[in-house]
Amino acid sequence: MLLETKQPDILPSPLGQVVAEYWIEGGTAIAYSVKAGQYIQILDVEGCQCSDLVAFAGEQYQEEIDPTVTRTLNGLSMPIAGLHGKYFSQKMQPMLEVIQDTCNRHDSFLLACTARYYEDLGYPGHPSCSDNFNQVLQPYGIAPRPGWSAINFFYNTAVEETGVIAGGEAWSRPGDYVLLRAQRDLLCANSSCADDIDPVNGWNPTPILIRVYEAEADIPRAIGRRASATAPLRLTQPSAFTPQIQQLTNNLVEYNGFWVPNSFTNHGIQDEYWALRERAVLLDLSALRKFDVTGKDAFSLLQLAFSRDVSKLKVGQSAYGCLLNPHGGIVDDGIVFCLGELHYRYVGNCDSDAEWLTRVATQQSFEVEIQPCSHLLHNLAIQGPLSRQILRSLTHFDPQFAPLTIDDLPYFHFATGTVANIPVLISRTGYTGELGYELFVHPDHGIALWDALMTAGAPVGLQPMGMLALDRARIEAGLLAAGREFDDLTSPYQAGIGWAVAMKKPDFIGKAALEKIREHPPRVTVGLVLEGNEVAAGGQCVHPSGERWRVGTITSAAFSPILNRSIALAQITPEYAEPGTVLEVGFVDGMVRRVRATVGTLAAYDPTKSRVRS
Amino acid sequence: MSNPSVHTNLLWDIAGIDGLQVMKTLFGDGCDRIAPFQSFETELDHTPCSILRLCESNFRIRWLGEPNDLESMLHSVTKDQRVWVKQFPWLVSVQLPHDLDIVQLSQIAIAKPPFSLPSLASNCAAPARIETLSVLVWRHTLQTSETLELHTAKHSLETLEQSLSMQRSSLLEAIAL
Repeated sequence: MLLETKQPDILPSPLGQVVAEYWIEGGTAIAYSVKAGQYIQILDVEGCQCSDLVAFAGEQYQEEIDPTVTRTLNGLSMPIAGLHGKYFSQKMQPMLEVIQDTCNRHDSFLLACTARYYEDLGYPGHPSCSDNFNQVLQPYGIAPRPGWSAINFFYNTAVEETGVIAGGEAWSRPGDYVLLRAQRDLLCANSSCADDIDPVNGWNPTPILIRVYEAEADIPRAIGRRASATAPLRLTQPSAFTPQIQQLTNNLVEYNGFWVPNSFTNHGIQDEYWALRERAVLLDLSALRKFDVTGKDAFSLLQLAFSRDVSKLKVGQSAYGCLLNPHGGIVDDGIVFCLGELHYRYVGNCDSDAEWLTRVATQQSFEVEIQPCSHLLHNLAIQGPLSRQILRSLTHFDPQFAPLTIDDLPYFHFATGTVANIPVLISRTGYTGELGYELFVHPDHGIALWDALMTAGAPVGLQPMGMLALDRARIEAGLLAAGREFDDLTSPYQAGIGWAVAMKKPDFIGKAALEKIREHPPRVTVGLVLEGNEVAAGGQCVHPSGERWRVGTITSAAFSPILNRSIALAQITPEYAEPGTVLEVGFVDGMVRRVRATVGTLAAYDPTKSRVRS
Repeated sequence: MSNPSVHTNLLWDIAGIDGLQVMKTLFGDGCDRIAPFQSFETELDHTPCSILRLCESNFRIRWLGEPNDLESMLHSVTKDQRVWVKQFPWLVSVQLPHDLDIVQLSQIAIAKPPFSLPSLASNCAAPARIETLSVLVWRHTLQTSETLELHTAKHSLETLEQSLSMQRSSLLEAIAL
């Protein structure tokens, strides 16, 4: 008698030529063989259902996946989808590689559930994944075990900071899947977890579907993300520049739905950083989300939803600010471009920004169209003191911007035109604290633009730069990162961008709350310069000198090569935010070791922004 | 000494997010007063039953009436509730003879710490092992009579009965001496 019935959703279409398909009823397990190179798709049919996997190689199945080796070689508590998401055997041989993952929340590679777990809770004899594995592996001569080390997909358990293992309802939705690629001929066993006595399977074991695809299938690596509760699943994408980037590095990571380079082969974080500060670098920032806001009420919508005074923007101007919620929290930060009296463009970080703007527009009955255009505009940033020099010979502005040239395009202004005869929108903005430009281009022209810039910049030492060096540069420049310096519980006054709130506007979302918060924000963002070379970590606590109690936390930290100092961004109580105040950053547990730090400007490097304005 | 009686259809398990609320509706606030591995005796529709709590929201009902009666009553209160109600086909209840007390049982059964069988109070349960077999030992009152009950997997039953038989033989020898 099951009183909560989940209806199976429509299963996702096969990803390639299916060579075998296995249905695993809830609470059971199966064993099956795959050949090296074949893909194994583990589908959660109804959602919220864990599936454990064990795999064996060798003629006698003597070699099996090993959690300790896997964790150690990956440097992660569990493998992730991407270039390093592999499971290894005790002999350190790769067994399975993660190719796609649409759930992103799995177990920490512990044990499959065991009879002992159920016995301890008063269910002697309850089926367990380990016992189910014993049954299906017995015909292959594999000796039974009371508990199998297994890959626990969709199993929502985690090891907390204290070492405690916590669990909860699985996050997988109907049709979510993990796609693995066999690195060797394998015997696999998969379960549909039998646990119905706690929330991990939603109290109700449901089926798991296994699809095996032929080795010749060409399935890209990807992670599935959902921008909001109702948004469709979106798999990681390459940008228009990824083919060129992949010729220079294979250190790509998933970032906000795109594959982006962490660093480049034979260069690395230091080299790329100094190229930015001394010459010029090229960055792929296509993961930014772009939305065209058009119509009679386009201005009214942005004036209501965006923190800056949009009425001050003329065509060709842009402004950095944030979208706010009614309690003054930052929904997202971004830049509004004024493309025309009835045409604006918002460039931010989240697909859900469009959903938010649409909701505001609907509530206000605005006549406005919000059109995502991220798929039509990928963007490169060319940043560094020589960026203008590189662009100079390549750039031609359209007639309406012709009075301007690349040499006198002001900060936070943009123009349309061509670079190396490729149509682009050129914006004098960036995220590095250096003079620089962002180039928005149709993806069809992405490769040509990359090649043209790299060729033109080669004589002066232009290099590509990855995300690791970018993070260091933006911390030096005191620039915010979503999830670090702000979220939707953080006001602009706490995040350090109170200057980006136009309180003189008649009204905007969050104004009433911000009027109160502005008087005394619970914390304010400051820059810290630490004594010594040790780099702080996000989340470490900040204390007054000699005191145990806290006045704030570190949000981001890095070693600044150009300052030769350890620096950090921190959010601290206003009483301790005065420049020159000496505080202490707590290392280890906050008590064992304290490092003195002095409150300074938010941007430790070039606080007057003289370089970006040059 | 009489033989243990084995029952395969007297136990009903109920679990889920709304498990406690359903139990309170059926059996009263007493369900909320007991901790996991504690139990109490009550009546439902004038039929005696015992309620054992296993987790925050998981309960086991020992029902002495017609199974169909309980099933229909459970149906009536679990509608629209996020719970399941099952009779596990692999789980059996073994009611030990009255002349085998908890002290004697503790000579062959080892409770999992922090539980202790010799000190197991009435209306309490404890997970334990008899040799390699896993059992749940439940000491409770059933129709005013003190009962010692074991829950175990059906496939363990034969071995369990052998172990209990050996215990009984030892006991008889001890009495004869």
